[in-house]
Amino acid sequence: MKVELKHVSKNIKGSMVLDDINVELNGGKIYGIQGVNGSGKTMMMRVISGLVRASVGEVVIDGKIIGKDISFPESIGLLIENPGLIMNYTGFENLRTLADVNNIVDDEEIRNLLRKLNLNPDDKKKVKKYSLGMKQKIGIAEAFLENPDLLILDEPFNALDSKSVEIVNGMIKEYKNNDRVIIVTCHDKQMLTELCDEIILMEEGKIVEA
Amino acid sequence: MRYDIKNGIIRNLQMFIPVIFLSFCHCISMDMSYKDHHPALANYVIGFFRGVEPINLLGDDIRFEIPVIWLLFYIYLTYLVGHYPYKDLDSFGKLVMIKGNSRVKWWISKCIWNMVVVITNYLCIYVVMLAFSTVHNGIFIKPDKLLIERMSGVSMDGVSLKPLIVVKLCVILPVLISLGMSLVQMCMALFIRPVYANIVFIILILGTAHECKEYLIDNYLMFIRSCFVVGSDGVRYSVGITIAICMIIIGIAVGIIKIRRKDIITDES
Repeated sequence: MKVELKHVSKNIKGSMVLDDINVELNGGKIYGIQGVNGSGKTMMMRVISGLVRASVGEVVIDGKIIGKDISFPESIGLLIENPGLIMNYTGFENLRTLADVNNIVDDEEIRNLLRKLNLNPDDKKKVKKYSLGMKQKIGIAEAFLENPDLLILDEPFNALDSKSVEIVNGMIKEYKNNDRVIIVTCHDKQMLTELCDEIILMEEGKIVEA
Repeated sequence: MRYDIKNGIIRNLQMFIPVIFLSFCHCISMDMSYKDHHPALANYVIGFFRGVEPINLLGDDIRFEIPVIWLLFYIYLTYLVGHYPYKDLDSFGKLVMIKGNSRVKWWISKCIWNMVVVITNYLCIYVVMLAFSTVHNGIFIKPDKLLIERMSGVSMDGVSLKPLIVVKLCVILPVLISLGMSLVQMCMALFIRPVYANIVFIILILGTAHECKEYLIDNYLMFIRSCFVVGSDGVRYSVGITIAICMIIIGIAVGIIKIRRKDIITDES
């Protein structure tokens, strides 16, 4: 897997939120994106994921241009901002519903994923009654579902306790292999340095250090 | 598609309760108002979709009766179809869209969801009325002209009220017009906030009251504004069908064009 951003800029209502981004992300590495709030980290993730179209430039995934050749990367797992959840479903039902789109993941795999994150797959509690940390874990499980080649995790450690941070950290490291690109953002510089192979520093929509 | 049917309809069946309740209210109100006539199915249906006569602002006697149940039904319908797709796109739906790997498929699925919801709402109305008329008269669809005159205040002299005409004016036309309106409204919600699209359509519904013109689409939702009932002063069935089909096509097609380029960003961002 290879992700390329070529002269990508994004202008929203006259404000340049991404400014001439050029970067190449290759399989087998964990990339950390660091920057203060409003530096463009999340927008860059959105552009890579295909949720937002670049105003200028192109995002190329394995030679295919997003918005031209493909709508979204063909194999992607995503956690951006708040996890996408159906509040009146259980955690398992949320994952099952998402898995039903492509129907390539069986119930047992979903159960294992939930167990890995220290969640009970047989919990009958609706997600709306979950704590913030539990909701975040379901969001992380959704991202890992179907073992995507491109894994995007925007602030995955938000609302997690230290034990859960350790678990998620371990999952990300374990997930790394030659075919996969993993992108993580986090406010904690030290955590990002420990987890990632390369750090991309962003400021005011620009990459200032890579 | 399966996701929208399951999440948007099957696990959300309570959304049909208000319409069933409105239909009950309508039938009970008709039973109480016309105790001497047991209404036939067609009477219940015409009663629901009869609408009101246009207001003659220049006349001496300005009277306007508000068709409360009719109005509530259509306002509720605008609320139902306007919010689910937007809320979905803001949360779980974006994941479904990404996993499905197509923006267009997501939109088409929402259009089908929209159509199923609109048609099911109408079915709820007809089923409740069928139940009421069965209790009174058996399944008897020929309308009682006298009763319609009393309900609407419009003379039915010389008006042919064959069951087919009732089906055309109270089933086919309102269902198609509602489909067109709800698809256009859903499409508008891709450009502006759903609440504004909602307001536009509520204004359209309310704004139809004063005039019976063919360009005011809600006139096609009112039985007594049809040319079958009021002659050349009314709106033509064929024009209504054409407008409805155009709206359906425009709603779907413009939505496809827009969703291909739309930035999926949450309100907070």
